[in-house]
Amino acid sequence: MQAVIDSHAVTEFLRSIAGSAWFTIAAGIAGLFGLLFSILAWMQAKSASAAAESARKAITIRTLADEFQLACERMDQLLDFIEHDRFAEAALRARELASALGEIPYRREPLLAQDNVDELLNKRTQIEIIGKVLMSTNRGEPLSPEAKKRLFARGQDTTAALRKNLGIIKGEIDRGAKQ
Amino acid sequence: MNSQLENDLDPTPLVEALIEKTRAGKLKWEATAAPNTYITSVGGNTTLEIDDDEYLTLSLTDSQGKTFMVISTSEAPGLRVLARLARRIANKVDERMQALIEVVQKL
Repeated sequence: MQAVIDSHAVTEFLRSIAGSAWFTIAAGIAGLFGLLFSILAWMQAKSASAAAESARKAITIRTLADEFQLACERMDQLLDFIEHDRFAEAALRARELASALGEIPYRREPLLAQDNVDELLNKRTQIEIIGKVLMSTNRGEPLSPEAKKRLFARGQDTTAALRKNLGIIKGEIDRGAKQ
Repeated sequence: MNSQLENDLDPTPLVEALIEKTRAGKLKWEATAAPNTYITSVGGNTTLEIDDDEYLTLSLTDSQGKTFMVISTSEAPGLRVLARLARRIANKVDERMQALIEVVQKL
């Protein structure tokens, strides 16, 4: 039961069908299918790549929103500490916030417009100055009602700016969810 | 490069440019929790801080919070003009004066 393949016969057979019109048509159709499948595969790959990029961007935006949310909460705590004359705790919060706000524009610059980055840098400096004023009270210098009012006003400005940025980012997330 | 480093760095062109841009309304100076201290940020990487409490100085801070230059009035006398403009913008003096004129005219 040993199959012996006659190479000469195979070559003759292939030569005979290669010259026929049917073979040319079949080869042409097969070629067209090949091209079609290649195009479809390329389109699928492109679509998958775009989906992966979009998912990565969505995760980054969500992380940024979480960072802003945390900053807003810390800012609320800072204002609460100032309001209740708990200056040591407020100074600690100010240090944490200045550090966090210093990082956000640096790490998230591609996602933020330059005006937003400038605004965040301003707010970081505002909080650093709030921290310095609070530290001076820890050194025994009394805080006048006017100084406390000024601290509170600057803190509220900063909260408003952070909440505005948080709103913009959440809007971006909502737009992404609708798409 | 070495020949440039032999001379002291002249901050006057920077201060003049800041005065020009402040007058044009391009720099948004803000008041801070410290009296007589005003800040603004530019280019997404530099914060300018005018401190007119004891001595008048302009500090330049990078995006990571490191102060890399402090300019005093002895180096750039134009700093007094800049401080006056910054105070006017930060305290919204023009808007307040306009509002006051309107109130007074209605009396």
